[in-house]
Amino acid sequence: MKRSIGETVFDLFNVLFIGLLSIITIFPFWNVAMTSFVKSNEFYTRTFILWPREFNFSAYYYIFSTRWIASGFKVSTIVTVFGTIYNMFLVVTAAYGLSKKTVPGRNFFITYFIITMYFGGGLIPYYLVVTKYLKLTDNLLSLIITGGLSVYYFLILKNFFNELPVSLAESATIDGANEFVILFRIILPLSMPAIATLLLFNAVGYWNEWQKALYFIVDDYKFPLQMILRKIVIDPNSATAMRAEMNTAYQNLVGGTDETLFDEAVKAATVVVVTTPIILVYPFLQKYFAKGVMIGSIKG
Amino acid sequence: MGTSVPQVRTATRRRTILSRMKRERFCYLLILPSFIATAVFCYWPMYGLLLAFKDLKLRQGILGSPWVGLKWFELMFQDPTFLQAIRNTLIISFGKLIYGTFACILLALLLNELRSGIYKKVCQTLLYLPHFLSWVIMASIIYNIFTMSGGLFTKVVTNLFQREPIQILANPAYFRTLVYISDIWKGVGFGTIVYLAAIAGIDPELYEAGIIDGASRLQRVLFITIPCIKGTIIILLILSMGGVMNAGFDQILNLYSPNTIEVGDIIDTYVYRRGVQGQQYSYSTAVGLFKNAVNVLLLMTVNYFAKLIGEQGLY
Repeated sequence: MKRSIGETVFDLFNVLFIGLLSIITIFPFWNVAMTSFVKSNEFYTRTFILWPREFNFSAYYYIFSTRWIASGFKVSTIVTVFGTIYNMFLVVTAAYGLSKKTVPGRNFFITYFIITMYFGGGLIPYYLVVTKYLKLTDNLLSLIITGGLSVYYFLILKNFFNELPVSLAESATIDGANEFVILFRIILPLSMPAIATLLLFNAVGYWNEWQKALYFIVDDYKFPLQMILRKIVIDPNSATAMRAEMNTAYQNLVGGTDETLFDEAVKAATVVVVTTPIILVYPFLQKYFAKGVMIGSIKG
Repeated sequence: MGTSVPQVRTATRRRTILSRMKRERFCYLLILPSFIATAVFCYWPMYGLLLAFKDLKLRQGILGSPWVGLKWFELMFQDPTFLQAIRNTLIISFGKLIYGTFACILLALLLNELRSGIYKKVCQTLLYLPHFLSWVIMASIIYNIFTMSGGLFTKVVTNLFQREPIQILANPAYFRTLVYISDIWKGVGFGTIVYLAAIAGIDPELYEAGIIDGASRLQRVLFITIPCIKGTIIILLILSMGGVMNAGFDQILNLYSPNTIEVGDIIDTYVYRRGVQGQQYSYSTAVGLFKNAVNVLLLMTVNYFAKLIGEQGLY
């Protein structure tokens, strides 16, 4: 089919436009990265910094020498690893248990979980339960186990299990296998793609989680990285121990006039450090999530 | 093999419920952890909703605290900050919904016109990335760009355009715009996925018929693509209406400041300030309950309309 001139022009513009959009989406990240690598004079004078004229790693040396990045990393890693394990355990067990249509009371349980998607006690009762009744304030557990079943993932996995042929489990039962064996030897290996997808999404969710730390954690050195970042960039006036440490460090290292270590660079370096794990994991996410989203969002 | 009679499912009708439960006891064991977790962290707080009608005295606990009936609800509607929060919530929700949907559809249509290949994949990879980053990260990047001391935006305005620096952050005049644009920045890429899937589901024969009838590419988009995904668009819009009372707590909490409370405070941030920071537990529980109740009503209405137009509802 012959393409008209108009179409060719449109195609050209489309390609350029989408390319531009992609660059605009990414450029703020790049700008932050650049901020972390330059000296202050370059930062304040050059408008667009595409590549540093002079590389300066002081910001990174500084934050990796602080207590709070180390503690933040430790906390974030612990919470992400254990939180994901905990969450996936809940989701896989509940999804498998309720995928079989022969379980009496199945609909009751499914409704029991689905209700929590649409209605809840709200922030304050939840906050009171965790802090006043369970007394989990300043406890890392409050970042890991508080939340109940992730109903969204549960539904996705349950549907996935439903799609597996029933004959698989039936023939195994006839061969004498009990439920335990069926779940672990047959169903799970078959479900690896779906489980891997959910696991990755879960892990990203835990890494990005900061609100729970906002409510439940008081000790600066028990904050996950996201909270540390928030305290440094967004909410600097409320940080006490950390801010004091930063101010003295600036004065000691700097005498207030060093070009190599300045506030914006430290903030930027923290952003880079917090974002990098997700970027590293991103290719794997990409591989799975197109399929993952399909499993969940397209109904019928 | 064990007993002579294999456990064939078709015989269940003759078995009693109890024996079925006994046979499936392993499944109940599997459900138990989630059941308990949900009971503790979802249903127990629901019991805490009682606080909305009481005045919590911590030492007496929920049961021991005195009833105050609808006092908090009366107080709520007399508080101008709360009414402002409702207003902001609705404005911001609808704004994000309209701009966001429009942007997603437009981008999906444009992406669809791109030839498949590496270029398209790379662009999509870049466009999806912001969705996976937290609002803390996004807000930090926004601060980096708009800060008056050396931010990219400030430098562009003063150096390239030779004007006085414009304050964007903590500026009530630009706050909502900032919310809309940053929401699109973060969500438009990922949001196109559903629309792209819907577009991919259109029967190619429709396009062929259109070509035979002499339709141009633009006409094919206007008269085939868009009408075909109309159902998806409508159902997504309707379902989004159910979330209108949540205007993006995470985003707002990271972007707003005392200066912008007037235009940016939403119900959730109001509850957070009064409840967690201000420790007015009973009052903010009542506010939360109000919001939740409206939410549920909205969802039921929305679901009704969705089913009415022939689409599958939420439940």
